[in-house]
Amino acid sequence: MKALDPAAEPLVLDRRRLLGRAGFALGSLAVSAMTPIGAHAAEAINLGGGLHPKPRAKRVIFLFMHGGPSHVDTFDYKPRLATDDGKPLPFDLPPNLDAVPKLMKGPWEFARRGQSGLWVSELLPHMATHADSLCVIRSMHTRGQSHGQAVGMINTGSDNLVRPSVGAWISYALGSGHPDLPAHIAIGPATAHGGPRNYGAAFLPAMHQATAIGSNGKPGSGKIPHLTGTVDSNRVDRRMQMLAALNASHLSRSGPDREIEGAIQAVDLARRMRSAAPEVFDLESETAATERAYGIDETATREFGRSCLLARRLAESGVRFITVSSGQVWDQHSNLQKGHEKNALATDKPIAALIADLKQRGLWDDTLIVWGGEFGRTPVVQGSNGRDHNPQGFSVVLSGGGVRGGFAYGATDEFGYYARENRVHMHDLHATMLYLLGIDHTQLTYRYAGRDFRLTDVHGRVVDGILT
Amino acid sequence: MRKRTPWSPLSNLTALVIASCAITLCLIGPAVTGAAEPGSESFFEQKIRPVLIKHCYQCHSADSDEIGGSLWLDSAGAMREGGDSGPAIRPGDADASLLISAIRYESSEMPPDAPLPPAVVDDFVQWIDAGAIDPRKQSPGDSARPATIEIDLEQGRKFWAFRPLADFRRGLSEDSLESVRQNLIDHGLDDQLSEHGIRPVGPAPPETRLRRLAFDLTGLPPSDAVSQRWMASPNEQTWKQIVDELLASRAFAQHWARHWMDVARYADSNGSDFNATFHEAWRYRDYLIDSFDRDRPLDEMIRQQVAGDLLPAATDQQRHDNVVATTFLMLGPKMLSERAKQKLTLDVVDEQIDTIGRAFLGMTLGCARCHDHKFDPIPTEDYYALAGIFRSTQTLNGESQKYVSTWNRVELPTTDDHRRSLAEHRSTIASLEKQIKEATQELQAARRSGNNGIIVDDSEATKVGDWTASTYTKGFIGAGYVHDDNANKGKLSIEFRKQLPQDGEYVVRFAYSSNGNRAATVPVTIATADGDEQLIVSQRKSSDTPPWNVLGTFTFSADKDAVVTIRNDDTDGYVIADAIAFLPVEQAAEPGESRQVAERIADAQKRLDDLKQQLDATKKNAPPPLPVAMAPRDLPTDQIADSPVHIRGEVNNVGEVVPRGFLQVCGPGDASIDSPTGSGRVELAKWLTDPDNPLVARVMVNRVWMHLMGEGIVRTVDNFGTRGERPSHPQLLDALAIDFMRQGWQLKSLVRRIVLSEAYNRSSEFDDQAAASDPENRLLWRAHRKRLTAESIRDTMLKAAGVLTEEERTEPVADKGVLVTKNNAVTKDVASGLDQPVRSIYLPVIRSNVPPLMTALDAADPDLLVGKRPTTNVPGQALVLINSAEVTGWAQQTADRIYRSESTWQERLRAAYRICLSRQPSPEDMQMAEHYIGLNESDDDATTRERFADFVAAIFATTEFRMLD
Repeated sequence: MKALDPAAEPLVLDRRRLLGRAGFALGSLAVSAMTPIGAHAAEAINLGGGLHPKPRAKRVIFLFMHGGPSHVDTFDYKPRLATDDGKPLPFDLPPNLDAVPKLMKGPWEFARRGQSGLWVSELLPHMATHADSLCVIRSMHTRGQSHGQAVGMINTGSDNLVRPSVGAWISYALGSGHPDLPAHIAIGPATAHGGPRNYGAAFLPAMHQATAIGSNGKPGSGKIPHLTGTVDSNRVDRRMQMLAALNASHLSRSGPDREIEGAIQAVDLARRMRSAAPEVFDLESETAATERAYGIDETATREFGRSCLLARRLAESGVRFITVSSGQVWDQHSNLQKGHEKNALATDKPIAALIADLKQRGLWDDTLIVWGGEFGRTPVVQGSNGRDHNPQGFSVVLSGGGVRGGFAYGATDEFGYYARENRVHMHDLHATMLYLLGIDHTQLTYRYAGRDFRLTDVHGRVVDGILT
Repeated sequence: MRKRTPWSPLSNLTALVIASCAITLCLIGPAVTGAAEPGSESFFEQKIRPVLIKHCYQCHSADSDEIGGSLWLDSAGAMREGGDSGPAIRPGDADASLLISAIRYESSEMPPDAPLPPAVVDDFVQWIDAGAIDPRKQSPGDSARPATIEIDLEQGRKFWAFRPLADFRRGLSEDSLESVRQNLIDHGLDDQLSEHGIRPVGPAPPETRLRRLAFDLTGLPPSDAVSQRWMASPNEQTWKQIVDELLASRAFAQHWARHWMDVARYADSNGSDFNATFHEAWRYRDYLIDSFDRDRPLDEMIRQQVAGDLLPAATDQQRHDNVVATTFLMLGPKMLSERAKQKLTLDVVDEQIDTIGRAFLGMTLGCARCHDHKFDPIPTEDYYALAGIFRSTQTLNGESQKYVSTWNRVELPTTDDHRRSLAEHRSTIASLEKQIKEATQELQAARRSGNNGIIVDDSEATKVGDWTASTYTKGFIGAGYVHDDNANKGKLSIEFRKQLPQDGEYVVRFAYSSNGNRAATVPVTIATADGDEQLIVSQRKSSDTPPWNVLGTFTFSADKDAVVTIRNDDTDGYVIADAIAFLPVEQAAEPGESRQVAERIADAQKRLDDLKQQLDATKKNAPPPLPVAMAPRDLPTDQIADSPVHIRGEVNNVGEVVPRGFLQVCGPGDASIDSPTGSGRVELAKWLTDPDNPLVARVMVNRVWMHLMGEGIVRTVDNFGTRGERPSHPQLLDALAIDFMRQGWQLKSLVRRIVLSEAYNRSSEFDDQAAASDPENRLLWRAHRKRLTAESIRDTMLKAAGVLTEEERTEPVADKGVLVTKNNAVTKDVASGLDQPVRSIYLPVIRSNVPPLMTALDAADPDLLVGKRPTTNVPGQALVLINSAEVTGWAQQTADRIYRSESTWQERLRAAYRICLSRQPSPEDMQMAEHYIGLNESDDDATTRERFADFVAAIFATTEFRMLD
């Protein structure tokens, strides 16, 4: 056994083997860089040999409006709801619904916004100021009349089986853009409706699961869990140092061993994360003006404002996929006006600030923002003043790299119930998100249990009509 | 091939048809009738061909890049012939034509971008009904469509996994047979090693061997006593004794039950969309522990888990075990809130088939739900042969709330005494409840017995705004009362109006139930003969004569209505209104009469309170409920049926019916069940454990081998198909499987056999030469370095801290409701129980809420079947081990314990190595440890203690602690 210098750093190993952070390159390089430590060495990774599209965006910020905001009260203007208020819906409702077939006018006025004249309701006055940068898909449809299924669909592409989340797939495909930070982070993810499943890795290697910051619509401490301990920081450093030395000793006694080497690299990365993360996660370093812009100085917008500001800092640092969750608040089976106004108040201004901030920092052009819920809401009434779930037709809003601004794509019927023109299924949205990141969704596969799995299962078509 | 019976697609469709025809009709005007007759070629040319070209050819013609559903629509013949789902059209019968249901968005949704206008759909209907006249011939570019690739079962049976087990020992000479007999495993391995010219490494050092054995068998480090015995005489005899002791220990059963639970995707909650508590799942966990403890044959366990509820039982205990075992089928995560219940049922069946396929057969049967298996010889009809069995089995039963399914429960045997005491309890409760009802009526009568005068109920009052009607708080006047829901302040009012019979003074009383959450400043206006009186009433103060509260005495005249108006302006709290009473002042109770009434009320109240107390006490002392298991049952005979094929797995796209049965590739001849008894699960259970089934014994032996050797002989332990890996030692696998069955499917003897081999006891040291020819150690020239499970890591830390007990907890989720958490956005963490001083197997496994410590250390994801746990290296592991409150606490406890028990720092360091790593430190280890805790520095004892605790904490995160060398 060779003499041991207890203070020595553990073996310095190629970090690229640990995280597939091959910058922005896609394909076998980034992916093969990850395989040595992957959980399923036998379950080979396969991005296929085909050509992938040219990337238009480097990262995604997914603003998940959990609960299902009403599309006919935000981005899908249906004048017939006002003129036919209280009249019967002239066609049948889908099964398993609590709403009655009676049309209900929304409480908010719509107006054309920006130079494009995109319709946005007065419910979202701040987002409306960015109308020319928004691309509304008005013809979304998905599976799942209940939250559980539809939440699974938007987050994992599956309404029944356990599948990797969108962010996990993207982490798997692209790795992190920061050497010392995870590729996939979920801010304020809900504990209900599948909870961690919606940002989990399922059968992909565990490293692709999102690191969760806070829960249920709130960023909590806004920090990565367990970066600090219950003992003071010096003692944590000391423990990490002892750990590195003990592991190095184990390796030197064992001879070359990929398992031990992998663990040593992971400890090394943990130590680097401990030094890199505090700066990235430090919201305090922002100016008072920025805090005001995000609404962090006001009670109503504070939590979501902090989440959005953190999302911007993470995007800036190279994190690939950031989900900012509103919490399951948009589910207004009753009291539509009161509930939606409260939710809009909490989220609208921070989102507008995020878009402006990304633009100002030159990040908007290569960031894809996705705003949407798991489904929309019925144009017909539930109870006296609510709307029920509507997976048959709803809107999702995109903004940023590669999508047309000030543009609405597809249409629902004249009441906003069923997606009718240029229908876009949730699988199609996922295919398009991957496309914008430079990934052919049919080529991004992972072999598990003897089968090559995809985010889009056997479905999905890129929605060309929204691309710039 | 199986016999198929015809199936009418329509009969099954109707239930699921979405009335989209009605939807489309209203959107677009009526069809313009063209000149051409539907039965003419010109109709086709005008109305049909252009639509096909524009909307369908992109995916369904010879020019398409990829043919959708193997369906061509570019010639008359192709349309009649059809694709995956069968013929696209049936000339003369539009309603039976798949093309029509597709463009109506019923069976599938075509074209996918947007539905065709109803007028166009109507054209297609007319065209088909008129015979589907179509002049198109086979297009020139249309090469003959590829023949459907029929799975060749004969060819499939030649694949190694489907071949019958072969005993290579049959052909051996007596001499070589003797050496094989002595040690089958080493014989098998050494043969291949020497073929490849590889020399295996020598045995591991004794301490390493023992630590490996103890963890592999029990999931815990060796006890001090065993270590001392072994180190005193590390010979073959001692080894065998220790192996037998460990095999006989309860810890063995706990550790191996956990392995099985990984495959059974065990959890104490549903997870998924609705995280329902599995209150009874623990019975299955305990069934496993008890079964492994007494070495119940694995074939019996498989039969019990697939069909235990249907198996005969001679004793109550046997019946109990049989039923509890079937919890295996119930444990999968389910989308309980799925509103389309037929889809949910199929998804549950799919999950069961997938689990049985991978757990016992090493086959990924799920693939065959939508099409013939692309890689393995499993046609889609095999899948639906199994699906028939599970569709005839009831897993879900009823709803726990609207739209949310719950599962079937089966009563377990219990004693007659228990039943009797439950019956008595029920009748006591019923009697008390009856008495309470009577007492409540008496109380109400007593309250009414006072003279209240003229009453105006809220139902007669004039309400402005959105008052909420309620009957929640009892003791109200009339049919109920109203409240303002503590909302819409300033917008609600309620007016009680009465024309009184004569002029005079009246006592006015206001009925409401008071409570702390009510408004304190309710504005009340009384229109009297003298004008309006304004009062402010606090509904928080309780009345002496509930529900009545005296507002005062006022003068009213007979020719002007008496009006009492209650509003909710500027109120904080609920405003509640039940009734108003006007009582002529001269009739107002005499003090004596009032006292009598008050006494009657008080008596009634007391009796009611007493009875309620009795009821509470009775409920508290209830005998334990009848034990139930989370278990399936067969559907009633008239609902048991074979399943149709669902084309592409779609609920409403059905093909031919397949008789219930098994995998055809696993044996010669017909694999369908001859006249199944019930669902067919009993037959399935027997088929699985038939000695001629080629897969099950191989899969089982391979799983055990993997747990002990680090890798399976087939490395893809859940996949023995063509996409899985091939066995590294097929002869050995077969011989082990044959012996395993011959010896009665007993786990303990198989484990003993493996751990007594030389190969098991090899060192894990590296060897350049061997690694050069076999870098992946497929031939086992050394021992694989294995990971400890998350459970073992935690249990060992608890043991080191001196807090682990032998307690075996039952009912780990008894404190949870229907949901483990509230199913909403409010944070409601479920306590992990990590701090409880019991082995990890006794902690609840809550889906979506597995503690970060366990997930970081690669505990099995309870949502998935996990044959082999992943081994990840992520920074989160070091972070959670160094920084989580739990581990920090255990490290501190360990350090404190050692500090107290040993008197010098050298001894303490030695103890730390012994307790945490089951070995003595080397001089180099000691040198490093002393350096780190600063023994050479002149620090005070407290500083050294702190560094020692840090050192122990660091050990807990090391590779050596987390791995088995």
